[in-house]
This record gives sequence, structure tokens and C-alpha cells, in this order.
Amino acid sequence: MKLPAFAYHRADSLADAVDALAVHGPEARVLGGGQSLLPLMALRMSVPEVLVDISTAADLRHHEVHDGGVTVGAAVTTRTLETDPGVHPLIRSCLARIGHVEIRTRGTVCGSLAHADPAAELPALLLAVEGSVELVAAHGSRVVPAAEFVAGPYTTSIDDGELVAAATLPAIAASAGWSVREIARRSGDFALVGVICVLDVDRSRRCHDARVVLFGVAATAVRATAAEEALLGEIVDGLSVEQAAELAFTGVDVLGDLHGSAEYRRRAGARLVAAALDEAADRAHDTTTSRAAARA
Amino acid sequence: MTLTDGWVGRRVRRSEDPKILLGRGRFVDDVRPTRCLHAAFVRSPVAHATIVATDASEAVQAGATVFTAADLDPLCTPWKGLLDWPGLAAGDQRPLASGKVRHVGEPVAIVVAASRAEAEDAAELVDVEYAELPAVVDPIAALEPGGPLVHDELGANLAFESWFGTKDEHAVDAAFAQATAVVEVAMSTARHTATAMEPRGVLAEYDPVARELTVRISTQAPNMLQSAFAEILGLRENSVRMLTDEVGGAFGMKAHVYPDEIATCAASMLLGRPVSWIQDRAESLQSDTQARDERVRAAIALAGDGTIIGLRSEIVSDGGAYSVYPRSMVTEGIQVSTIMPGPYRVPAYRSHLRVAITNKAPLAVYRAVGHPVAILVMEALLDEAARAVKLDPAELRRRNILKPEELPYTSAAGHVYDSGSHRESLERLVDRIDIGRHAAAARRRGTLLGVGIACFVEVTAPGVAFYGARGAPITAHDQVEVRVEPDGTATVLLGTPGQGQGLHTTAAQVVADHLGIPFDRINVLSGDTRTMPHGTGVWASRSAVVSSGAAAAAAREVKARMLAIAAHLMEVDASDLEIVDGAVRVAGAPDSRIDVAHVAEVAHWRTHQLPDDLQVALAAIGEYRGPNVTFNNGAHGAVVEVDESSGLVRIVDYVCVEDCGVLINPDIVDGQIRGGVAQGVGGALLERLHYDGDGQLLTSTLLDYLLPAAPDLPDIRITHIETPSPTPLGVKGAGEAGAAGAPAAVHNAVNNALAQRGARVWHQPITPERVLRALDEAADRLWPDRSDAPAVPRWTDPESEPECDQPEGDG
Repeated sequence: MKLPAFAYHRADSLADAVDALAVHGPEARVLGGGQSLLPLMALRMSVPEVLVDISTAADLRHHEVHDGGVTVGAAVTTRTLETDPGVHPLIRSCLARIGHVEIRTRGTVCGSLAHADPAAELPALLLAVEGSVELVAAHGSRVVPAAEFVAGPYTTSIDDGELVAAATLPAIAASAGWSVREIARRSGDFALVGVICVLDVDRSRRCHDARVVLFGVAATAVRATAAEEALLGEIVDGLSVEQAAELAFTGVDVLGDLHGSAEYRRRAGARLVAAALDEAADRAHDTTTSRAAARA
Repeated sequence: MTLTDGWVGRRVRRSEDPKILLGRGRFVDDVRPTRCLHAAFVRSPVAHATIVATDASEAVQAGATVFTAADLDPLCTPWKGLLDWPGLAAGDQRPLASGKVRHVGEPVAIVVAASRAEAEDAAELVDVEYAELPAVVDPIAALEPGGPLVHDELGANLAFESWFGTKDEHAVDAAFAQATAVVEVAMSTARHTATAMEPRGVLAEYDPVARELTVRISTQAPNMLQSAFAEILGLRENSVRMLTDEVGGAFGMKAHVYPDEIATCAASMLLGRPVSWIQDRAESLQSDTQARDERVRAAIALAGDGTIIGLRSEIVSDGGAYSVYPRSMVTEGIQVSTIMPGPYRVPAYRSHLRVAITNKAPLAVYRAVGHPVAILVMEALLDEAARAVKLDPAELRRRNILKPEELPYTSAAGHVYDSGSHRESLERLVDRIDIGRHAAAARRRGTLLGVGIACFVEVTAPGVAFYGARGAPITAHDQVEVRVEPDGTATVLLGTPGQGQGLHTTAAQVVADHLGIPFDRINVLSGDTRTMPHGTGVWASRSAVVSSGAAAAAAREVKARMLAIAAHLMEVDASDLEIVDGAVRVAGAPDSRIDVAHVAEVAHWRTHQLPDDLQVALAAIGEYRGPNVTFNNGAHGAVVEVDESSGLVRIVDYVCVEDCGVLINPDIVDGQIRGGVAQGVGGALLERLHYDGDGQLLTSTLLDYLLPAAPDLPDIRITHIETPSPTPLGVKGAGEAGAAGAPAAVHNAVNNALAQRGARVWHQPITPERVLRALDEAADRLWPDRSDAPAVPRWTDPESEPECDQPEGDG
């Protein structure tokens, strides 16, 4: 379990990093916090010839909060964002579920997005908040929306020479309720089933925005579109939530593994989604009521 | 400080801790002699195959040295652990696979280079061609005739078969025929491994001139390995030196001869240079001995008042590919069989055990060996029986558990329980569990609350009968040397080394009391077979018993010599003297005293003051003498909440009542219990080495082999009872008691919760999936696929099958 031999380039800026990636092409990998890449190298499942270490690149170590949303640079750790009180509680709650504090202290937000583990929280969060990533290469940059970023397990639309320079996680509407729930066998484990819900309702509790993102159950984090559609335009109550939860896995190609079969994930997952929707609906209700109260 | 009450029994801080906590402990990987080379292994990626060809040319071109079986076999006699169990059959083990590989992770070639990283690089270049054979994976199917064979020369995959229990087999039939209630369970436990924090490792240094081999090794039995390595490598025992300082956990897993460790020594012998091999976690999960792979059907017969009248069990133990030397592959299965009656009056018991050979890593002893499975099955039977006869589970146990006046008691399986507090342990446990306190929280969270109890007995400090008398280099009479230095401090040399469990601290407490000098003037050393007295290692919860017994014997002898010298110096009779807190004084006249340091100075340097015939050597070796075995006992209680929507189990309270006789250091015993409970909880809820249908090991990292961590465990509340044992100091072993009872208590608690919905689980680990499925099926919400429950053996007719005498055992 020793790392294979590799060349090491410490990038002192984004420009330096993308230059190095341009020189080394597909043989180079970006080293952020190393929480996924280094174990894979130790197991010799990943054997890059060059590591471009961006962890100390000054211009990648910033994050910027705007109305609870955040744009986060490539070298910003999960822990930094998690402990920033200006960041929306949905985002912080989600980040706090990633591994253990030691992992979050080294691991980076953009690194986890680039790694695209199907059971990881961050790709699911990116979908749930309808965020985007900024990919930068020596020849230019582009912004990729969440829905187009992850293509499969550990597979993204990052091209050779490109770096996830930043990710934007917008805040959800102030009136929206949210919930993040996971089933994990131990504290800090990847979820057997995870769900992020965002629900926005009007004063009559009619739903006008529903986002239900499942993770840990399929080849990528996925939006449970059948459940979302079942809620849109409906009055959110116990019955509609239950019906939506039953549809959560419709059209989702659920995969099983050592820790839980596909059947387990569907059954426990449907109940988890129901609980998450309940919680999100409660929060949405609270927000609307309190805003109405504030106006009155 | 005046210490009239003595050091034994105090919560003394562990003398081992400062250096370990400050990073100054010396583990195998901390030592790097000059010219040291590093080894990595090419291991089999498949479960069962013929080795067609091995091509190491690229690795050699890259600068590494590669040895295969052809290179090492001439240096090494093959080995296998047979003991002399009647009919036990096993295949030979060699340092590197020869001809065939028989489990994933079996070493095929050793690659030696200037660093471990280079050795791993070169190992990737070794090309081994395998012709795969069908793998023997299911231990019950393995026993059917006509299937593939793990060892062709054995003609079958049955390693061992025996009946245990009451001699009169008809007594059991009669009991079941007249029973008011009969309850049967079919259960399994999953393969675990010890996952010691310090993986295995060897630093072998062969001196070709002196023909001496020095082996720094992470082991729990250095003297046993000295003998075994000498035998296998053809060296004299006094030319083999085993060194071990700190050992980062062993748990029974480091008590065996391992092929990779012998191969590392052989490589040093061939190269004439030091060779270091430090195992990594992937290797640990593949190649450490494994345990707890048991499938059991059992039934209990009760009279109308809940009295147990009969018990039977049918056990298939999955022994893996080889029978480890010297302990063999059968100890666990035998103890599943013979411990099952536990602390209860079971008048008639028959048990049929078969040990299967499969294409998995060898099965061997792991903390509490067989006890966790035996206790799990018995306690599950009792809970089912309590439901059947509508008695409170504690009351059913109360009616059957041994009372003090029944001791010593010979169990239906032949074990002699020498002493204990079986009934009192149960009562104290019941008193400490306050279920009402948890009910409100469970209602608030909408979970199912369950409480489970489990009573246990456990083999500790066994004598020569189990291993030595059966031909293994393992016995019971460990030695300890105590010597007093010229300044009156004392040095204690232990034959059995510490493993992190605080043995140096407890030995010093015992010597302090028996020598009469303060704890902090005593330095304890262990771990060098060249200079230390002989010992047989840490196993079966024995080291506190045997080390304290031998240390006390040595200290008494040295004290007698000091008293004789002091008597001369003080011109009084030795029988009027005592040594208290470092001073020799006249009993009843504490002002008439001289310091031990003065006695020691005279004994070393001023012997002209003494008569010629007085012994002046203030050093003696004591040996352990004790009964064949002493059983500890106690009871575990778990309170769990089961989440019906996810199947997750959370332990909300845990109580252990433990009686290990006289406590030398309650803090150390508490630590032993907590660690053992953690391992037992791991077994109940999390740990499973998962081999697929082709014998491929899927749990290859700690991301998949799930160990419990602090957040997954409840506070563990401990109550001690001290019933002295017939050992020299009244001490019993304590190291395995936590692991022995925890799986049963947790399992019973889960089933107590599930029973509210008419559901049960029967297989460990109790995964959320198994729980959810049981709940769904009890509510007629059937699942489409087959469950992952392992097959459990059917009953076998007791014909004229081989039968074994009852052993003492390995805790």
C-alpha cells in the first residue's frame, strides 16, 4: 500500500496549475486534500505520473458568500465552508455529513465534486441547489451546470487539462424548506441511501418548487423526478408526501452492494424520502408562516 | 506513602502508557538496522488455482530479488497444526504456495528490494499464471462428497468431526421426548478478523557465521515461535532469538506460525542481510487468521416449570484452507460445542461438530474463541424458550443458573467450573438495567425498544492439557524472574510479554505487594527470548493469572533471602520481620527498621558482614503453578432501539457484570471489558469478511470491513464481583469476557425489540437489511429476492461417530 512513483508539482496559483496540467495532459491528476486520490493510489487503482498539488495555491483558497449561497475555490476545505455561519444551513448540514472531521479538514469541496463518488454528498448537493462548476484550462474556461457535470460513477465532464477551479452552490429560496437525511451503518460512513429535499410552498401550502435528490443508490446522484412532479402544484400534506415518496425510486436504476441490496435501498429509501419531505415541508411551512407573521 | 493495604486492587495508572502516548514505544517498524532490505509479497488474487508458471524476470531486472517456493522449500520443513485430535486432517503449509493456491492472499512469491515501495513496484512485475479451479466456499456444501477438494491428498474437505457432551446419548433423546416445550434455533456468525492496530511484521536478521537468527516480531507468543521457527528452519533453539517490545494488539491472531513471516526469515537466511516485512491493511484482511465462521442448529428441552432438561447442537465450523500451527483449526468449533451449556444446569447435552476445509484464509483463535458463538446460541434459545413458556427471560435464567452451593460444577460438556457468582451476576445485572428510563425516549423517537441479557462462563488460564498434552509447544508454567538491584529497586523479567493490556503494570503491583517495596521502584521488562525467562505467551485470558502467580512466587523467594540477611544485620529472628513500603521492620515494632536498599547494598557489596552460608543472590525465578483451568463468569445486558424504517440498531445502554476473581487493577480490567464489548458489538452488528461465490474476498479495506468506532458504541457500565479462584492469588483471567457475552446480549436485545412485531433475526452481523427484511416479512410484505442468510446444518443422526474427551480449552 505504498504509493507508486510519481512526479510532484506544487502549483502556487490557478495559472500555474493549469499550465502544469496542459504540459502533462492525461497523465496528471490534481491533488487537493488527497482524501480520495491518495488511498486510490496506495491501492494502485490510480497511477498518475504527475500530481499537481493545488492545496497551497493562494488564489484558489477563497470562498465568497452571497445571500447564503457560496462560490468556493478549488483549494477550500469542506471544514472551512461547514464552519462559516454565513453559508446556508442546508449546505452546512450536508457538508457536516461528509466522513469525519479529520477528512473534512483536509478534503476539498471541489475535489469531492471532481471525484464524483456516487455515494458522496457534494455531487448530490450540487444537483439539489442547481449549482455549477467552473472548469478552467490553460486555453480558457467554461461553466458547467450541475445537471451536465457528472456523467457516471467517478466520471465527469472535466476534460484533460481542465481543473475544477470553483463551484457555485446557490442558496435556496428563503421561503423553501429543506432536509438532508442519510442511512449509514456507522457514523461517518458513505450513505446506503441519502436524500436531499428542497420544497417551496405558497401560503396555501401549494408546492411550486420540489427538488428530491437521491445519492448512494445509483451510478450517480439522481433527481427523483417522479416524486418531484407528483408534488409540483399539489398541496403539501401527509398524503401527498407519502405518494411522492412512493414514487421516489421510479425510473431510478438502483444498485446494491455489500452493505445493502437494491431492494433494501428502495424500501428504506422510500421511507427516508418520506421523512425528509415531511421535514422539508415543515420547514417550508415555518418559513412562510414566519414571513407572513413578520409582514403582519 | 504508607501502603498497608497493598498495591493489588488499586486503580494504578498504567506504567506502559507514557512511552506509547509519546510515540516512544518500539514496534517492529520502528527498528531499521543498517543494510536492511524490505519485502513485499505477491499474493494469490484467486481462491483456488494451479500455479502454471511464475515469471519474475522483469522484477529482477528492476533490481529486486524474488524467491518462490522452489527457493525457500529447501530451507523449511512444511508444517500443519494437528495436535493429536483423533482424525484431524489438514494439508501442509509452506512459506510460499507450491503447486496450488488455496485462498485469496496466500503468498506466492517474496520480493525483496531496498524499500517497501520499490518491493511493491517490483511485486507488480512478477507474472504468475494461474489455472483456476472451482472454489470451495460454502462449508456445508464442502462436506458433500464429489465436489472439488481443497487438498487433493486428503480425499475430502472434512478436517474434523466429533461428538461432545453427555456420554449417554439416549439421555438427550429421553429429555426431548418428555419435554413440555422444545425450542429450536438455526443461527450463524460471520467471519471476523482481529484487525490489530499494529499489523503483523517481522524484522529478520540472520547471521550466517554464527548461524543465528534474530527475529523482531509482533507476536503474543515469542517462546512458542522460537521453538517453532527453529524446528521449521532447522536451527538450534538457542540460536533463534525472538524480540518483541510493544505489540499493538494481537487478540489470538498473533499466536501462529505464518507463511509470510517464515518466508521473511528464509529470505534473510538466503541473502545474509536483515529483511523487514511490515504488513499493510490489505494484507491483514487477506492473510491474518480469521474467526467466528460458525453455523449452528440447536434445540433446548424444558419441563413445564421452565427447568432445562436437555440440549443438543449441530455445528459446522468453516476452518478455511489450512490448520494453523501449532493451535490448529478446530479450537473454535470445539469451544462453540463445549461452552454452550454455559452457567446453567443442563443435565443432558449432545453436540455434533464438523470442521470443513474451504478456500478461505485459515480460521483460528480470536478473542474469546468460540465462546461468543456458544453463548449467543444458548442465550437465544433461552429467550425463545421464555417466550414459549411465557416466563420473564430473567426468571427463566434464574430457575436454571448455578447457585454457589453447586460449585465446583462439571458441565454436561465436561468443563469444571471451579468457582463463581453465576446467580449473583444475573441478579446484579437485572438490578442495573432500568428499562423504564429508556422507554420514553424510544417512544419519542418512534423506535422499537429491546433489552437483551446474556450470562456467561469463560475458560481462563488453562493448563497443559489442551495444547501441550496434545503435542504443541505450548504449556502453562510461565516463569518470572524478580531481582533486587543494589539500590533496593527491583527488576522483573516476564516470560510472557505485554500486548498493550497492561501486564507490566499488574506484574509490578503484585511484586510490590509480595516484595514489600513501592510500585514505582519496580521496573518490568519482557520480550527477548535470549534474556528473559521462559513463557508460553498471551492467550486464553491467562497472562494476568500466570504472570502474577509466577511473579509472586519469585518475589516471595527474594523476600525470604532479604529477610534472612536483614535478620542477621538486625540481630533478630527472620520470622519476626516484615517488609513494608521498602523497609524491613520488626513486626509490632515499626521503629526498629532498616531500609531494603541497605539490605540490597550489603547483599551485593558488603558481603563480608554476612555469614558464609547465607544466600546473597537477591534474584529468583518463579514459575506458575495452578489448577488446570479457572472459569470466570458474569452477565451482559444491552438496551437497543431499532428504527423500523431503516432497520438500523442503536445501542442505548450497556451493562456488564464481571467476576474475574481478585482484581489486580480495576482500571485495566475495565479497559479489557470495554475493548472486548466493542469487538463483540462489532461482531453482532457490523463485522463480516465477505467472500463471494468464487471465494473472492470483497471486504478488502476498512471501508468495507466495518469496525465499530467510538461514536457507534454506548457507554459501557461495569460492575465487578470478586469471587476468588483456586489460583495462587485468587485471580482469574478477564481479557476475553467482554467479547464473550456482547454478541448474545445485543442479539437478544434486537430480537426482543423485533418480537413486538412478530419478527426475529438469526444471523450476525445484524445488518439493517436483515432487520428491515425480518420486519417486512413478519408483516407479509415479502421481498422478491432470496435473503443473504447462510445455510445452517441439518441434524445428524448420532451413530457410531468419533468422540473426544473434554479439553480445558483456549479462551
